[in-house]
Amino acid sequence: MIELGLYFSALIAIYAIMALALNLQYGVGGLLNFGLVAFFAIGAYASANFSIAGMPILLSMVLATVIAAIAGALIAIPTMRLSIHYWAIVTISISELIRVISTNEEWLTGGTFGMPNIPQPFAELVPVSAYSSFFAVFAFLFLIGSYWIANSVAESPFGRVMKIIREDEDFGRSLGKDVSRFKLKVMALGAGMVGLAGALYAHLTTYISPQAFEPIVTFIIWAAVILGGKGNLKGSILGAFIMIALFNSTRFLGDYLDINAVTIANVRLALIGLLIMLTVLLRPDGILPERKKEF
Amino acid sequence: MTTPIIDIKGLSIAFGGLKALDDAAFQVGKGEIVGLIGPNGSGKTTALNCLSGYLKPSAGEIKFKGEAITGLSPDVIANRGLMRTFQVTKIARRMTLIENMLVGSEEPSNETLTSSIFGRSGLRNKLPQQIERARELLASVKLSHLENEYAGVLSGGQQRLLAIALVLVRSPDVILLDEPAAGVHPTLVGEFVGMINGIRKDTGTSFLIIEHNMQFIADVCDNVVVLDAGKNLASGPPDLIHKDPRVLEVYLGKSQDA
Repeated sequence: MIELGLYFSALIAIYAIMALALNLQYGVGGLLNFGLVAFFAIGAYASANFSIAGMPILLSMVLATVIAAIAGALIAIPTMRLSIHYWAIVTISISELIRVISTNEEWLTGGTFGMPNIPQPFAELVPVSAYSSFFAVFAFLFLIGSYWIANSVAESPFGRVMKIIREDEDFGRSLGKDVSRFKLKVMALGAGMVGLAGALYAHLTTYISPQAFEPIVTFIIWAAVILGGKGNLKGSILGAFIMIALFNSTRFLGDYLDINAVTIANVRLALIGLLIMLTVLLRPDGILPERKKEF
Repeated sequence: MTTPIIDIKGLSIAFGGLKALDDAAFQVGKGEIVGLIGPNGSGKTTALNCLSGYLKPSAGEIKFKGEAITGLSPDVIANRGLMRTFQVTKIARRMTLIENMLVGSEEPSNETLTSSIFGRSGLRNKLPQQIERARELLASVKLSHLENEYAGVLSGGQQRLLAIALVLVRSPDVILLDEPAAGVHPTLVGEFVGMINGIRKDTGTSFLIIEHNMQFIADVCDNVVVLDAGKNLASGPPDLIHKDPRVLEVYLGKSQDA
């Protein structure tokens, strides 16, 4: 049971990193990115491939982050001129595209069978009995780093321009801001952070397959940001905690209730939807609303 | 005569079958305040949108400080020193007045990701000066008491004042104002006149002002350009324009707010 708790702690850190990334893109910058799982998959497959090929794991993770960021930028370049809602649709299709690729390109991803035996960082140094604790701490260190970066960006002049873009792009342009460039940068930064989370996920589970990269990942992150409070970075961490705790504890509903497994899976999805709806209706700014910055 | 700071020649643009601008031409001299008037649909705002880069004209040339700026993007034009306000005021509603002003005053070199992550102390050191400048300008438009409120809580007239403070913060060479007096209380309009004259006197800034309030135009402008159906109709000092029979004709019996 403690092992499981430690596993979920690491998973919370991983989702919190992604929620921070989405909050930068959506909460601060107003970008509707419904394709987050694409960068999660890119980061996971990249780090898995590099580390299986014998590259040091930390280096694999850094490279995976960079590759995901580049992918984010490459997707942003041709699509940034789309209005925000069309862009949201494009992001959904890109995430499906990545999943289809991961299912079919066996040489790169192992296809539907996935990639087993992904090495774990510092596995030779940490005793097996303490490894789960170690990985939870390892993941939280990355979460702390991600929070520091996200917070620096959100509070900086760059972050203020992102907020202006969220409010009105034409207004930003009239103040001399190159709006597309800012959107491109925040897209790359967020994609990099999600890619890092993907790399952590690959090394946490040691096995990845296309099933891990269904759109539900994106929706859990969205729920975490909306629940925690858009524009409030601490809220995203809280939201990720609540979502992962809820989504994974409901897994055991079957032990207590006489419902079949398929129904339980559907109930769990419905719970997420219900939670988003209740938040939007009862507390539209989330548990921790965006704080007014006073000077 | 010295070279005008804005020189527009042969400006044309059509929306479908509608010729919004048809070979329009006018100039704004350095330090001059020019009014752009005409009935609704005469092409005033379209001209402003072409000038500030929001629309690309199908023909014609726009020169700013002697250089062609036709077809450049809005942010490039703004950074060169030609800034504008909008007919429907644009402000960032969920940012405080000070935050709005800080974005307006920021140098592009401080707005990179690297400086926001690795240059935090440098940015923090510059902040007090920027806040001071923001406070001065907010005081000049009498919004000091609201500096830490969200801009969304301001009234329509106050939002126009904030928009004007925002274009002033970078000290541009030319300011384009699209109906600054619309929906603003008469006493406040009187203050606008004093404010615009004061800015011109202090900084030599030129203005191009679209307005339906004829008294305002007469009080503040050195010259007036009249557009009708996208064409130049007349131009000259306000008192002459008021008596011009062609101008009276397009204004008489037509819809107008003044």
